[in-house]
Amino acid sequence: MNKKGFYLICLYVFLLSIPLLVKDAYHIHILIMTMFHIILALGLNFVMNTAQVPLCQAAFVGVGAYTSTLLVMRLNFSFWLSFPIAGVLTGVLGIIVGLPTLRIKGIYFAMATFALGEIIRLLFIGWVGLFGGANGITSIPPPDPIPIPLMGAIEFQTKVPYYYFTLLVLTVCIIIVYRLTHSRIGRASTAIRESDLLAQSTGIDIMGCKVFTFAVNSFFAGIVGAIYAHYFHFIGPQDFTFWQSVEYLVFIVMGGSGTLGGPIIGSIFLTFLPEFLRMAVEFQVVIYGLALILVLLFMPQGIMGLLVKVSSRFAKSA
Amino acid sequence: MKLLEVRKLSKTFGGLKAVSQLDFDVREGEILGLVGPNGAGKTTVFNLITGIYLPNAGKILFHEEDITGLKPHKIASQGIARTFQLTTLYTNCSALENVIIGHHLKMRTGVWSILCRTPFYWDEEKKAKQSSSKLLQFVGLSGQESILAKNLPHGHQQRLKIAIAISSVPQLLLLDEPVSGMNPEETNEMMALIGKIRANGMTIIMIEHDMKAVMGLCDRIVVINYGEKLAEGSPQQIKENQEVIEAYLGREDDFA
Amino acid sequence: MELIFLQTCINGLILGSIYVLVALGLTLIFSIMGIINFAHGEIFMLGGFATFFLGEYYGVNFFFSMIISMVMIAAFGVLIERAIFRPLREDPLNVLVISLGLSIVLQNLALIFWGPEERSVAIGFQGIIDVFGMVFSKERLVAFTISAILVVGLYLFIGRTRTGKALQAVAQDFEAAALQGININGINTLTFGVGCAMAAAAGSAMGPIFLVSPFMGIMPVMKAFIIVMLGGLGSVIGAVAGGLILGIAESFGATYLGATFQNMVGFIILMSLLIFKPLGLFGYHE
Repeated sequence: MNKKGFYLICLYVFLLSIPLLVKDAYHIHILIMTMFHIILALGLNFVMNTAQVPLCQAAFVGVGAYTSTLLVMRLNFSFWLSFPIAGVLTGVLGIIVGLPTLRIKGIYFAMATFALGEIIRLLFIGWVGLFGGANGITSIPPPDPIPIPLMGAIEFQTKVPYYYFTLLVLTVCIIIVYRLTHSRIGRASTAIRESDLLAQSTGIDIMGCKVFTFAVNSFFAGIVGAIYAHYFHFIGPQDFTFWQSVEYLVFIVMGGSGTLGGPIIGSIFLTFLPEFLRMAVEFQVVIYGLALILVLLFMPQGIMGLLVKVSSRFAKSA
Repeated sequence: MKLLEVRKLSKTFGGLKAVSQLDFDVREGEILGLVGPNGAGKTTVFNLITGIYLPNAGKILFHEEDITGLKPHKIASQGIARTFQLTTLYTNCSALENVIIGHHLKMRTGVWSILCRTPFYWDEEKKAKQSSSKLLQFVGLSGQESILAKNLPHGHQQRLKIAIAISSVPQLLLLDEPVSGMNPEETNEMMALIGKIRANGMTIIMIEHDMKAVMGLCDRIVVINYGEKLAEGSPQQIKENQEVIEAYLGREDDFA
Repeated sequence: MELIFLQTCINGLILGSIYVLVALGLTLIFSIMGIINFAHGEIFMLGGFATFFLGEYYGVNFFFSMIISMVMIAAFGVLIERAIFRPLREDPLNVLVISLGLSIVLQNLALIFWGPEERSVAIGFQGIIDVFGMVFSKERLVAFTISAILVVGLYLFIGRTRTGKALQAVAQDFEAAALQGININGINTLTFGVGCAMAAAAGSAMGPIFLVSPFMGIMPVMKAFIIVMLGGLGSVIGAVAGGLILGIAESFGATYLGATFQNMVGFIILMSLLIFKPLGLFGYHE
């Protein structure tokens, strides 16, 4: 096995053992939130590779969350069924929304998804019968216990099972995005971004590619939403606002768009940062906003770009 | 055998007739020159054939099938490829990546084989990479594989454009001013390359202003002016055509 | 019955006129500079706060406060344009994203320094006017008058003055305009300044009616986007018409529908407009 593989395995062993080393539930919570953010950032970045910036991420997370919640609480589905259904449904919504909107140019597409995000959020507030209105839905049950032969069952009573489950989902998502990117599909996205005129002329179905990447992104948002709902046990429209969509954008911009590592680094950095800056929410948000502005002005490749530059400088001097 | 047939093709922008009642054929295996003064509508014709513009009237037949109004990527999959005048390349990708991207139509990997990394996936990736290397060699860019497209000198960029276009092994290749901006030596090299491509069985339509290239390569020439066909015939016939000479007023020395 | 109808209409017109001011700034900036500034609502908010503070702490008359506020905020806007938007001018999408960052920074700085409470702005006129049985507050009438004056002034400026014609030229084709010797950077600065001044005026006019708070800019700017799309980008008359229409529609909506669905209608309109307006990938394929 090669070096990369070896380090990855070491990283994994470390990640798997964290709950044994870290006992504070709050810290586990931070890690779980970070993983949610990474999944969302990866999905968003995948779409942004086709030069479209959706501003409705958070609303789609909400769609996944409410879908899973309603399936479990109204129709007595098991979480293990509602979870993939929520993802698929959100993915299908992505296709339905994407087909008319992805043909329009970048800035207008952004505005259209912004409008869509607000429409969805207002629906959550307005349709009280289904979504519980501004108060949202409470007492959402945890996932059903997973029976293990001869050893009892894994119950989702503490944060630890959520940690491992989310880690598993994250791993699968990373693999999906990695494999799709290093393939004909990923290259088609790059082509569309670099020159859609040329891309079309070499047979790339631009709309097909854009809709596909948007659907993948929507699917990711949906499954994060589903886990979110059964983790927090409470969801409300205020969890899925436009500003959260902006937050996910900041993760990518900070970390560096267009790479795999960028969104991951950005998400980790910006989820951990508020913990070190123990200050009021308003100050955190100001720092977020300033970070976005400064990065776009001075460091458009994000942290990832900076790391790449630094490491190549080391390589040259070595 | 008629590969491409253009019948009464017309395109109007606002009030301006860019292309008007254009009629011509392209025979299999030939190099057809499309010439005319600047603004005559030549690139518009290419855009109409490749589906970037929708014609207001007229038909385009490829292999006797109507391809009028098909989306550009569908037309590409039928076997028509083209190059563009401006630097239409994947500028931030390496030369090799540019050509690999061009293999999009040739690769048949679907979502499942990509996600599961089946042997088929690995096989296709390897084949694409090898094919791309060979193509770069074919157009004379073998040492330039890892150079970013935007850093290539103009002449090399022109070759790269051609490599990308032929990577899908099209039957019809549309070249938009392949030797523009080249010195005489580069022009000769490009002419040799185009000759090689034709020898490999591809039919070519070429827009060019450089009369040496046109006269030296083309089997037949179609001359258009103000969107209408002015003349059609062999290079010799066109050279002696009075109307053509008048249209190019002041450029008679090009025909020498 | 007709009286309530008429009153709702006129209230709608008044509300609409404030939206028009905000929308005008936005459409001006978009048609001439090609950028969408998400922080426009915060410019609106800062205008309102500036007027509030000038009145509250320095005792300046409302109208002078408004004018000073317009100048101050225009200057602020010019600085922002130069420092933040101009470097990214080539990619409007980047400008949009960075304006998002600016928006949340300004909102929360306002929250930090001035607190979340809503402040009312004293206008100097108190009370209501009774016209044929319909009741209008003096504040609203003043707001409407201000809007009307500014809109007409802007219209005349763009249509009749030499600078105004330069603005039109840049809006149509900025490369051609540059070739004719028009100073593009200067025009951009002017445009942005005027756009911000309009927003500041709107924010000031809003204060007496709806109070001033750090988040007051969010809804108006969203409405402004809808208006701009409704009326057609770059059209002053369109923005006016769109603003008035939206104001009236909302006024009726507030009376007959619930508030939530009333807001949703605006966004549905926006989304539909964006989808069905012919703004294709690169405008070729019809």
